Amino acid sequence: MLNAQTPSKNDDLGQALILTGILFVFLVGCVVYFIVLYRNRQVKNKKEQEEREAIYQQELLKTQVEIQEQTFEQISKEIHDNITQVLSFVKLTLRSLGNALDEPNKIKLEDTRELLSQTIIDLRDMSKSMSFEHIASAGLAKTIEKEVERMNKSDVIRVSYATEGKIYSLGEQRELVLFRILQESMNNALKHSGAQHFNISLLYRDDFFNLTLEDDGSGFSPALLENKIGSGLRNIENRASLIGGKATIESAPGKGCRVSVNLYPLNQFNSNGASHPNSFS
Amino acid sequence: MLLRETKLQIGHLAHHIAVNDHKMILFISRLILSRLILSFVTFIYGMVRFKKLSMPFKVLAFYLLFSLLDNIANRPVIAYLKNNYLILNIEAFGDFIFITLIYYHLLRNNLIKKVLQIALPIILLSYIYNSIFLQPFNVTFPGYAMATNKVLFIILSLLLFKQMLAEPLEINITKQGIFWFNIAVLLNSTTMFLNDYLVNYYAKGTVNPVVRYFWNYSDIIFNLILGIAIVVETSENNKRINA
Repeated sequence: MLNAQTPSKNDDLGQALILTGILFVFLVGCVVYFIVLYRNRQVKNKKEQEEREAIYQQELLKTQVEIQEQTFEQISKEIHDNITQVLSFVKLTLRSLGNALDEPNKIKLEDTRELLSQTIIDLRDMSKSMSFEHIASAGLAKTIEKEVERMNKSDVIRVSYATEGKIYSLGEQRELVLFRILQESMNNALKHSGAQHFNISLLYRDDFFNLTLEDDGSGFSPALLENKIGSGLRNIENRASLIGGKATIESAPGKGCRVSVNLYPLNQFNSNGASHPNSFS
Repeated sequence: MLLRETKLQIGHLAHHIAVNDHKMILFISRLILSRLILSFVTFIYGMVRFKKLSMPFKVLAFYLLFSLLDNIANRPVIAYLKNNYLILNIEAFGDFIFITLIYYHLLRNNLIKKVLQIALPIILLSYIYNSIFLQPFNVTFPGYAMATNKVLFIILSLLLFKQMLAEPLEINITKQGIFWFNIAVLLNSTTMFLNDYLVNYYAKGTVNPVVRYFWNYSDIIFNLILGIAIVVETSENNKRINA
């Protein structure tokens, strides 16, 4: 009576305590397992989000490129159909005025007509360089050749051009993007680096293609890739990845800039062969 | 001689039990006081940070108030009615309403929300029926209501864990108030079955301290984790607002 706990009660209590212990250990185990599982899901979700972000950026870039090409096409047509026609008309009108002028003024008029001719030719060349159809029909190598001629005529920069290997078509879309990369790079060299020389080389192999663009300008430090200049260069990298290629940009202060684009023509890239030449989807 | 010795031993033992029993009663009073203080502190913290709390945690803050009043009223009711079955019935009602409401706001599945909307009044009515007819509130421990509560809370907490796994947030799980609240409910609900068994055991005449303390300890742990839930919730919300 004094000891209310009988041996059987003690056994029951012992069992209850063991049960409690097992239950707590089980519950703690479940909680720990849940935390581990949750952490794994977080990592997986983050990865999926990054992939979705990359796909979104890719699609955005494709759309931007498409819009840009359509704009170029419109401007090219406007220049060809409208502006050059008007200037040609102006040139003809000036010729008809020539008869009524004295000798010194005739010479001035001739000079003006020549300037106009040059302008018309330059505008036509610019229109061709903007036109997707022209680039597609001429091919990358020929288009670059014309562009080099145009740049060298302008005397702003000395451009050299070399090809190695048997030239073959990389596909309209790829060639267009590569040409735009060249234009971007050349623009950068003219605007920012003060380069005197610009070298273009194309290397054709059966399963490999390389486009290398070098200038002898002031160069820049890699940290500047984060700035405005950098965003143009990042554009080059993004465009290259759009066509399944890889662009590497090397530069150092005083050492110019080198852009190299590698492409593996036999590898698939994301194209559904849409009929519109400006389409990248 | 033998009788005298036996009487002496009984006397010593009785004195020993009386002294220990007194110590035990003192200890239990301190334990109950700790519970009250903890409930009070967590409630006050919830009220101070009330504006920064999201809806489910606002309900939790009111639940802490309910829990505090429930604990305070326990002793006077026992003194007056000689049992606390009335308090336990009210506790069963309150736990059900508040915790279900909190889960209603936390769970995002529309089907579960609809089920809760329909189930809440039905279960409440069944509790009322139970309190009046099946387990009258003045004479019987409301075992059915409490057991139903615990089973329901276990189901709801598991559903919430499932939702958390399906839609993980970017922040560390230990910095989510939902996680701590869910842990508190799950632990409390699962261990209360064991506690009820021990209470019944105790009611049959044991003086073992582990049995007596278990209810208090589990209640303290429950309130502590709820407090952590509110603290974590307000600190994370603060960071998000200031970011």
